[in-house]
Amino acid sequence: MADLQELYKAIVEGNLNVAKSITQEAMEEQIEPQVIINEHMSKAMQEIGKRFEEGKAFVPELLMSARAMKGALDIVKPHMAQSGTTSLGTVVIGTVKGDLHDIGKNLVASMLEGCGFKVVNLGSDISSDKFVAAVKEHHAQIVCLSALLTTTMHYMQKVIQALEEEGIRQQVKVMIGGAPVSEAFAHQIGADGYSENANAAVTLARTLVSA
Amino acid sequence: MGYGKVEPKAEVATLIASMLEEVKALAAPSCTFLVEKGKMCNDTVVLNNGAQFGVGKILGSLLTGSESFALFTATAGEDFQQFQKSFSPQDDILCCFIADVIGTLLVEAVGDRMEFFLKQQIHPLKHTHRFSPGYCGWPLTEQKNLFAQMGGNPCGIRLSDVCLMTPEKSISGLIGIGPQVNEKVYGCRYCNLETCYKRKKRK
Repeated sequence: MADLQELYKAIVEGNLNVAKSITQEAMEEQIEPQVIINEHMSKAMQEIGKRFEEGKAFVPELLMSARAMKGALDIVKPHMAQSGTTSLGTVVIGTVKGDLHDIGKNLVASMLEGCGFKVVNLGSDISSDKFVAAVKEHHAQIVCLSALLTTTMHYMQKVIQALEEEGIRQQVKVMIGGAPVSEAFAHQIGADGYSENANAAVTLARTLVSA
Repeated sequence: MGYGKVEPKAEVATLIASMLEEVKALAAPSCTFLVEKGKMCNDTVVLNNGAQFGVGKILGSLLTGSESFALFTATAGEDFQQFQKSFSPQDDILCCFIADVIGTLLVEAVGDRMEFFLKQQIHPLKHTHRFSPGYCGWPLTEQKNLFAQMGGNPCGIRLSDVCLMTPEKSISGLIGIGPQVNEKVYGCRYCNLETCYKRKKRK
């Protein structure tokens, strides 16, 4: 019988193979995906997130847990449609036009995906048109904008304006992140939130989709 | 990576060690500098060859007393860039992250090495910290001017239309040189850029 407590432990410890193996067993035993995700996987990610916030875990550990979670989720996904379980929401993410930096954005994408969001990663140097098109195409609930440069951070406001002009601003929450931006800047440009790191981004995304 | 004095878990430590070995074997970092005589004129560096850099008020004051200037670039190199790009963010975000950190440390170390060579060349003169376009009020667009002075593609570094460098792990800028320049002075109290990541880290 699948030991779901061991699944929890495997995700906290970032052990991909063990996480996949137990999840496979659980699917063969026809355990409800919702139960596995809500009672074990998500709680494991919350635990590693808590350790990160307390300075007891670091970015590599977060990423290993996210990788284990994603590996397990990939096994659960084919069974989700049958059981009516859906993802937490769809997120479109990208680094804004003129900026090629993408490591921070990719960390956030990876964590969001690991925590159960469907993530559409557009890459870097992304124009407002592309953000708008992706939000429409994927019916995103959240759009995440990243910038590392003080010269490109202001482009975030252009993306928000483009969403307004297209009449879809009210349908999508806008999150921003990156070295030069802040909570105050998020308010200034009309974004819905700012997060300082990948773990905080997941917490904020959860809050925004449940608001 | 944020560990400070904490040891990374064994799996992470092994991965870092193995990636460092790979980087040691393949990376060909390089640096260069070009010393030109010149002077500060208000907030502008004026070189004797006619070139000018509008470095702004903050750097203008920090470069006061300079009698010549070293224009510099340093890079982790194209091979490192290829190494870094070989990891897919979708499949291997942990390696992407580690490679990014290694690249940052590598290019800063190459910058330090460049300063070491410069120090030897200009001895007994003093020099300032290194200053880069995009910081402390020196517009990023001045990269074009800087690169033009250094022959277009110093160390093989290319500039994009928005003045970002490829390979990404590269640095560029200038250093003031003279008998009276202040070697130590730098830091957030001299800069008014509220959005700078260095200032945010200090808060």
